Amino acid sequence: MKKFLSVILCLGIMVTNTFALEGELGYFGGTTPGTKIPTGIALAQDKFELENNYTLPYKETIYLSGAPVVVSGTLELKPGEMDPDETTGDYKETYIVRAVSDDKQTEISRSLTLETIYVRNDITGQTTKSSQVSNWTETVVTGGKSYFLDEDLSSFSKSMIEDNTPGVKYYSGDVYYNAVYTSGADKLSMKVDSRIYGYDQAFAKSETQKRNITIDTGDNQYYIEETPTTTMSKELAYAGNEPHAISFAGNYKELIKGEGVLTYNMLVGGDLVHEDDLSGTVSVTDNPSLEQLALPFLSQLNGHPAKADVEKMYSMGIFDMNPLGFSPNQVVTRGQYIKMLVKALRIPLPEITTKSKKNAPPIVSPFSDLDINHDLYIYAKAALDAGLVIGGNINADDPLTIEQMITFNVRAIGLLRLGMTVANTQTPFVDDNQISDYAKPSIYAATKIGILPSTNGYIFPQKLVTYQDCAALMNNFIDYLRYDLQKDYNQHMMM
Amino acid sequence: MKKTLTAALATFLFLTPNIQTTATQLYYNQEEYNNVLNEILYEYNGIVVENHPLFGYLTYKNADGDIIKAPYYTSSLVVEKQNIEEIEDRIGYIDELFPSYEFDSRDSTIENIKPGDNIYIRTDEQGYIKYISAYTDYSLRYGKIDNIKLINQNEALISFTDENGQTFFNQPLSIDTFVTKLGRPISINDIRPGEWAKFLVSRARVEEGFIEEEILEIVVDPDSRVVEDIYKGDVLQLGSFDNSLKLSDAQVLEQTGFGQYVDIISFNANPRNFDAYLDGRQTSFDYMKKFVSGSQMTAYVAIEEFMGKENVAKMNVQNDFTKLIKPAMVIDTSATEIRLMGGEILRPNQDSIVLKGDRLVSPNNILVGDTIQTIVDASNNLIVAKAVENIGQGPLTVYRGTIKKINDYDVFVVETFSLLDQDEWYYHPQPRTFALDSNTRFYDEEGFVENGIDTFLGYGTNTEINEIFTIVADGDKAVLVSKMPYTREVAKGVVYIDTEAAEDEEAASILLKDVFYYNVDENLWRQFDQTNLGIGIELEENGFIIKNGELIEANRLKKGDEVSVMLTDELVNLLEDEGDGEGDEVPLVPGYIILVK
Repeated sequence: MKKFLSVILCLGIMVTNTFALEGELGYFGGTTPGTKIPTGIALAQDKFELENNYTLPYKETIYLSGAPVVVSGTLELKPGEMDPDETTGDYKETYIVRAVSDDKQTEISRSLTLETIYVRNDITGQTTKSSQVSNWTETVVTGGKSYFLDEDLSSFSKSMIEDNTPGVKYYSGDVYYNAVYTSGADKLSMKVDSRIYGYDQAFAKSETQKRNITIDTGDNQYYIEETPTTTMSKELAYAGNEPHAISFAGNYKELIKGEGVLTYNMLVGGDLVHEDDLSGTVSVTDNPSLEQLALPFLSQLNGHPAKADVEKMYSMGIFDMNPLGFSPNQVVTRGQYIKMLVKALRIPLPEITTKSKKNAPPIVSPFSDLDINHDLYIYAKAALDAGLVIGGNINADDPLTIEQMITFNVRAIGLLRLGMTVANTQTPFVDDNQISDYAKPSIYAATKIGILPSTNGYIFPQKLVTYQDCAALMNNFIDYLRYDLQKDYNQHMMM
Repeated sequence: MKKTLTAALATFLFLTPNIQTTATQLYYNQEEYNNVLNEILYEYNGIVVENHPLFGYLTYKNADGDIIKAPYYTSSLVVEKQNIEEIEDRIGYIDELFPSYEFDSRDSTIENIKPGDNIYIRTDEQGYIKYISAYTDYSLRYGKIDNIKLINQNEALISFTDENGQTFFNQPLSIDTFVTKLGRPISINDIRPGEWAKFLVSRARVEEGFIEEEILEIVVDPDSRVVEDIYKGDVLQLGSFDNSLKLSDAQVLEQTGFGQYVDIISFNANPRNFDAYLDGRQTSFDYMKKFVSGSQMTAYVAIEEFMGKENVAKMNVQNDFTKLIKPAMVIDTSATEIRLMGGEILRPNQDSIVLKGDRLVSPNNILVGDTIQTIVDASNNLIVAKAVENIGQGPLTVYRGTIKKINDYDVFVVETFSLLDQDEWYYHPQPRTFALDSNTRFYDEEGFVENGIDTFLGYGTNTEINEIFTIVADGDKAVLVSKMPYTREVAKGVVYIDTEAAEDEEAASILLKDVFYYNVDENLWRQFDQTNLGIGIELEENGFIIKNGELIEANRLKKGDEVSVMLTDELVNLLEDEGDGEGDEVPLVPGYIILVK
């Protein structure tokens, strides 16, 4: 039954990963709060399916009149879907924008359909995509004039690359377009080049575009730099129950909320626009949604310094042993930690059948020391498929050390390259000489991104990880995924 | 790790510097050719510990953790280093295989190899370095600048605190470190305490338990993270559902004191970095939520505008008597006291909210000479201090003169000019030259002239020679050129409502109270109206406003601004001409030049 549920959960998550949801900003400089990250409850449902049509709150800045004018409205998004079983394929994606300014003097109506083709590279684990426009209509009213897009003279191209690491999908790409508008006898062109960056993981997702815009009205030319960004994240909060006569004191909940922010800077703007008005920031938010998380009663931890960390682990379903038998000083094994990471990062679980088909060769475990019938096998296989571990000896029953845990964490989010310097890396810890060579790049990278303090005495790399250590370090790791990774994609990019 | 190469590429590798620098062809004899062809190369990599170009050696730590000393002859050394601004090696390795005369941004010199650099080196069999390829492994930090101080002509020290509260104290900074804001280079001197910035740092030295970082580049927040407003109100609710703070009966601090009451106002409040104090003690979001919400205690809240939202930057809750002190100049400061011109001695504390230059700063950034508006408790503990900008016209000067000569798109000369100073025109019987550029704004009786520089000509049927213009200049550069009447008369008053908030038919007018006008005959200022009805100034199409050293639109005038208005005639005469000033209606007069004091 347990495996059956896992398979169902796995299918739901796989659907999540096959949707091509980059483009939640719409590629035209607007911003939205993004689409909601599915809750755990939704993913656990038999009939869970992601929607194929979203309508999001939307804001964009129109520059055609020489001054930035903010319009608000909606972005209707129909994302495409990649076939998980094919290395090549194509899909269609549609973006429909309707927005108007506060004073109703400026409005925009736009519809764009893209035909996207993709190919997966099995060697790099990356997917490349290329999009061409199949339909593009647009009308802008601003400054007392109406501008109509001339589709024949306009062009649009988009190219993306995705890198799938075990726990995070990163992507980047470029969009270039030349929009030619007519207004009576006048012609106006807007050339845009844009870099796109984004990531998607279990606790948050962000997308940012760095856009350079050149507008030529014939009489005047304008140049704008703008950075639209969107972030959808899950925040964790505790809610205490006020009544005394209630069976549980409180529980954790995840607050899923999105925020889109657009910063703009007209380096060359209209003559009459005041310097202070040439740059600005607009934001758009959605209504947060909540998911209550179940929390067992851990009486043995009352007053324990790691109580909150352990409770969070239980709430997120990462610790799943019987709470009555939980001991914070028990050592975590490598196999148990791999399972925790797979669950936390929602790495898809494979479908496991122990019986091979008739005349088919017997199913053999890729691990020499982990049988296919072992409870941890499904998680180890998921970790193997995702690239978190390699085959051979997985040593699932060996105790986990601090350096192994950090190595798993950094590898899981695909940021090992930050620690891969030319020479052997030197970490800032006093007991650096105790760190194994293989673990140094990961620990170095961990100090760079902040999931370990950059200067803080000893790390004790060979110390065996207990459940209390594991809870504290893993919470810090998950907090990075919830709150800090996004800063590289939103607030740091806006400067 | 050691690898031998007998590659023919060595031929070119070792010749490259000579060929590149002298651009002359070298010829080997057979013995030299064989020597180069068969020379054994040794390759190593590591992290530079020290580099001494004067003594001809560097030391580096290799993969085994050993410190290796490697000598070199500067004259026969090729150095390449990946600069932080280069996103790729555009020339590539080909210029090491074959001589290339084009510019390669990676080409460098041994002086640029710094401790902490990752190096890949090749040595000859005697161990002398022949080639170095280096790059700097850098990290990103983000924080609020606490202070920056120059220690000599070449170095400064900067301290900043990141969002997790970790302080980076007195980080050394070279004076030529690249600093940008809004994508444009700025000087280190233009960095202000309280500003947020991104720091690109290299780990210059890493030892066991020790790390030393060097700042390579600073990107200053483009004024998107400013703290302009301080609100006073009762804490109504701290919402954990939407991370918000709601104040009831809230008032914003204005130049003249606290403004209109707002029933309920809401701000974002992040429980993860909530910076709140209750009677001087720092307290948590949950504590405030449980024990302060709904109470009658008074909260002073500094609001930060960031990413399009209004966020609580700092909150100070008081259960005591507080008083507002009008703006006064600081005449003395120490770590524990701030003395004002009026004699008050204020005591800054950890919970003091201090705003300077639209930034939240620590109290030690209040300097002698600053003018601050303050709120203190009964013991004169400083609750709020807001530095008041006192720039006035700043670098902008107003002239009026007759055009004598115009060089198209370049400069123009006025025959003689009058200079507006202290609301009076002072005549100077001498020519003066002003520079023009694409940012110069031109106005005529109809208002703004688009691309006016194209029609500002000294010839043809529309020649401007002998025409009289009013000029706003920043030094010698004309910022604004306007054809407007001579404005010899002056009135002054105080803006009593934000112009953007004005209503009805007076919406476009600048409403002034406490109005005085200058009577030339009597040579004194006279009060306009005993009942203080005030006047409304209608800014003409070719008029302008100067505030804090820049030209502004009328909607940027704020309640409390003290202004002088240059008029074409004495105020009372203008009112008679306009037929206004009767009944309860605010009389309106046309104004051309408005200067905020």
